[in-house]
Amino acid sequence: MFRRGPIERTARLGYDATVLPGPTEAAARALCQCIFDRGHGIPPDRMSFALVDVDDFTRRAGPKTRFAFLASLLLLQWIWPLAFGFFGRFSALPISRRLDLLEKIEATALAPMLVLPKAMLCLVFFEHPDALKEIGYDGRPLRLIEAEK
Amino acid sequence: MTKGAYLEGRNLGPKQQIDCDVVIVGSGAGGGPMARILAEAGLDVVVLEEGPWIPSEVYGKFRPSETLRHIGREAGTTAVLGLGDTPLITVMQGRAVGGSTVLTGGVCFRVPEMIHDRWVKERGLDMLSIKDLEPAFEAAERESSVAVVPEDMRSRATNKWVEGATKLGIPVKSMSRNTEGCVGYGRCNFGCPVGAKKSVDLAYLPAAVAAGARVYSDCLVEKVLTKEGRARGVRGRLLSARDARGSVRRVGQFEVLAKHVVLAAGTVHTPLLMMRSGFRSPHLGRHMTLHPGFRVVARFADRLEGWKGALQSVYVDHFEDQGVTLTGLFVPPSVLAAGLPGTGPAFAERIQNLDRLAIFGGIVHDEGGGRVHDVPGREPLLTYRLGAKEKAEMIHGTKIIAEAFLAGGAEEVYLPVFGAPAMRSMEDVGGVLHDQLSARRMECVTFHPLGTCRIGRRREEGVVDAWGRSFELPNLTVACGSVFPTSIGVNSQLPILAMSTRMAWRLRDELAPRAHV
Repeated sequence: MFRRGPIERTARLGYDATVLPGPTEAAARALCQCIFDRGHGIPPDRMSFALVDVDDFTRRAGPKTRFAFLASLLLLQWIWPLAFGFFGRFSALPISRRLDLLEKIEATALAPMLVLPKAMLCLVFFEHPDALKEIGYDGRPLRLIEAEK
Repeated sequence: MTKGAYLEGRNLGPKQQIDCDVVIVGSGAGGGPMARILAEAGLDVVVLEEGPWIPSEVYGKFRPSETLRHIGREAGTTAVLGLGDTPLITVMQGRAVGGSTVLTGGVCFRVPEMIHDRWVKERGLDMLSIKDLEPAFEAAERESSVAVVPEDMRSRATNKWVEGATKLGIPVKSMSRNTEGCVGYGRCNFGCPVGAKKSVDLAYLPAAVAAGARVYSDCLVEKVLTKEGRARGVRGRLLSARDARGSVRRVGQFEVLAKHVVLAAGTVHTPLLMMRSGFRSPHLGRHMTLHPGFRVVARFADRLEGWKGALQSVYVDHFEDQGVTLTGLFVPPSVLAAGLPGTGPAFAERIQNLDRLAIFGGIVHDEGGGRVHDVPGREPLLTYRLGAKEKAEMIHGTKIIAEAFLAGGAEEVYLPVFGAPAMRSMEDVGGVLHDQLSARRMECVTFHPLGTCRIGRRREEGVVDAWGRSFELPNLTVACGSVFPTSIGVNSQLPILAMSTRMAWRLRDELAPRAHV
């Protein structure tokens, strides 16, 4: 009834498989690094998990949302760097410069343009079992825990 | 009696012709009670649902984003276009057997007395008094297992806000929800893992099927069929499962002929279907109220694990006369992360403290500034204009929540304002939440669109009468959130169940008068 999960699809496609169209993939990977990297890099399986799943999510959300998601990434990749005085594509900037750019965007009326891609990537990234473990989520309910005490 | 069953449109033949006594379009809070009551009266009932049939054992295992993808309409990303000084508002709607009830937090409120008074005194709708609707509310509460959430089911995160509110003298009450056997997974609105939340797919449809109703999933109704001033049925297409590209294909068509047609497709899609079927009421699709919702997140020093406990357990009606109702809530960690501000190290630090976060939310009573527009494509265009009063109420409600969090010992408060930094004092909060704040910078979500086929005394005032009967076709009833005459200021699940129950009783008396003697 349902399609295979992102872990299975990632294994089938390979971690480097491209799932999002053209330059949006590079922008999405670069944005992931700005949001999720805690200084040790993002494990390839988790990056791939997020990209495969966000691709599926936006397809199911329908043409309007998918267009808005991909357009937001394209603007981030090509337009916002120039508009804010950063020369080069978003994905080509060093991470520190990318973070400066995102901070500037968030402080302006353009902030909502960042919300959609960031929220969607967060939604799927933090569903990876390892990511959940890292934030201390064990998925156990209150009553079960009380019963064990 | 016909044999009841769940039937998946995707697996049926390319052309289906079905005859029945009553066809119900929609299987959520409006369609569920109708199906059960009419089927138990011995009527041959057919329920048509556009979305898939996903048993609770299956959706209970979904990750949150999978629930959105498989059960949420447009994967939960439907947006209302804001006109003027109005935020972009996301609307959560279900698209599966059980409708939006599968995606609620289980919160159950009766319509407040002041709203009933308004309907009777200002609108002249004598039949919608608190006394008239009481039996229907009692029945809906019984069938849906509505009970007060015990205090020991509150999460530690909710208790933090309650502590702060108590210090400020704000009275907090325990909430009622439609759950039985809740163990506190804290993810009710993404599909209960143990089937404890009694959404319509569990509370009403199994009984309807046992009484002979046929529930068809994957059936998109496109037109109400009419003949000589009466409804004679509906027509539409059978839909496939979503393919790898996320598309749904037409795999066949159907026509259901019935003595009576019930439209219960929700506030957005019922008026759309009526517009596309040639209904002409000037009220159709207008007066949409949304209960614009907001939420505030706060970080505490203690480990709270807010996801452990009832998703929603307390509420505050102390500010009801100021247009604000506040409710406790939580969301799964991935959803919580998606709403946190910032990027880079600041964001990483917030994520690191996800188990120390608490959330509280609120809704405002609004006055019908929304509209459903029929545009090309499956989904309509939704527009909404936030009034100055509602904007002030949102700001007021957000301040109250933030103040209670800070009084409860929060280290940082995150406001629902794009680009706002973390707040550490009420001075910080006041610096962001002021009259000059553009509403477009506010994050806003709604779960309760209402009023697009509103009840009126006559056709000049509304689309249907107090029993949901169309002013244009005598044998067509509308029974969903679209019929509410005004905003109700509280979560709409139970009021819709009760309104539909009351309408179903009346219909049963008309169509099967001897059934319950």
